[in-house]
Amino acid sequence: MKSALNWFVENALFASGMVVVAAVGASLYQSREVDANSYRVLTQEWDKSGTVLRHDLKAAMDDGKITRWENARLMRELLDEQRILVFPVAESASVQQARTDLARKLEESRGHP
Amino acid sequence: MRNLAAQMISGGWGALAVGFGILSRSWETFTTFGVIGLFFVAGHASGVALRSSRPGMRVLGMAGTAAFFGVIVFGLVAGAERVYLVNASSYPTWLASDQGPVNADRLLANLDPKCAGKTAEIYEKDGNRAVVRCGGFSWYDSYTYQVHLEGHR
Repeated sequence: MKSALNWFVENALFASGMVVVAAVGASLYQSREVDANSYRVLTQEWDKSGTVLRHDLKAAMDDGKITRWENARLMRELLDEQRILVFPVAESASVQQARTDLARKLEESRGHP
Repeated sequence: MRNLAAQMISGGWGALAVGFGILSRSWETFTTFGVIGLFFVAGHASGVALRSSRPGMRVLGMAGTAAFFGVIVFGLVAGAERVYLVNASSYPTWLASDQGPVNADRLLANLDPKCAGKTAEIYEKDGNRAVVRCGGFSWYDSYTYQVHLEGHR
């Protein structure tokens, strides 16, 4: 056991450390909230979205915000579903305002699939 | 600490694979970087085997090193071909089968049957010629042919 540990420290600790640092860094970045423009894309595409995407978007907004990790999946689903995505010109609207707009859109569709 | 070069290669590519895999939330991205990393690790191992005291290992090292540089050269040539296809005003005739004259307005409607259901790129070249590539990005994984445009502006 000790020799295996010694071998790991001598031959693989540095490489493993690089992988762990990358994993932690990427995970921290992905756990942050998306920017205002991403909220605006989701808001503008809501009316054209299918039931699966709507379900996933509502689930992602359960905690009141969308993380970059959740957004990566939503954007892929959007692109698969609609083939063409229009990204609006970036505006100076705050993230809070964009998030509120999306939440309102979801609230309006309550009772609909 | 031993094998620092090997650790930097495997750790660096492993970090890229994990990092970009998480950022894009994609197993495909992770696998792509992982395979490229394994390729460089294999190249490094072949270089180490070249200096082995055992003749068999040296032969393996030579084969591995030759394969490593063969893939590198192949990639460079494929990249150069792609740059030439996109940017040059001509294209080597021996790289694309010649399908003769085609009405310019009917080019899209008359794509080669081998292109059916595939994505296609069309590059206009000098002398009213056009090169059509479908089903892939590079010459080796696609079908490429040329036509002579008639009635072209």
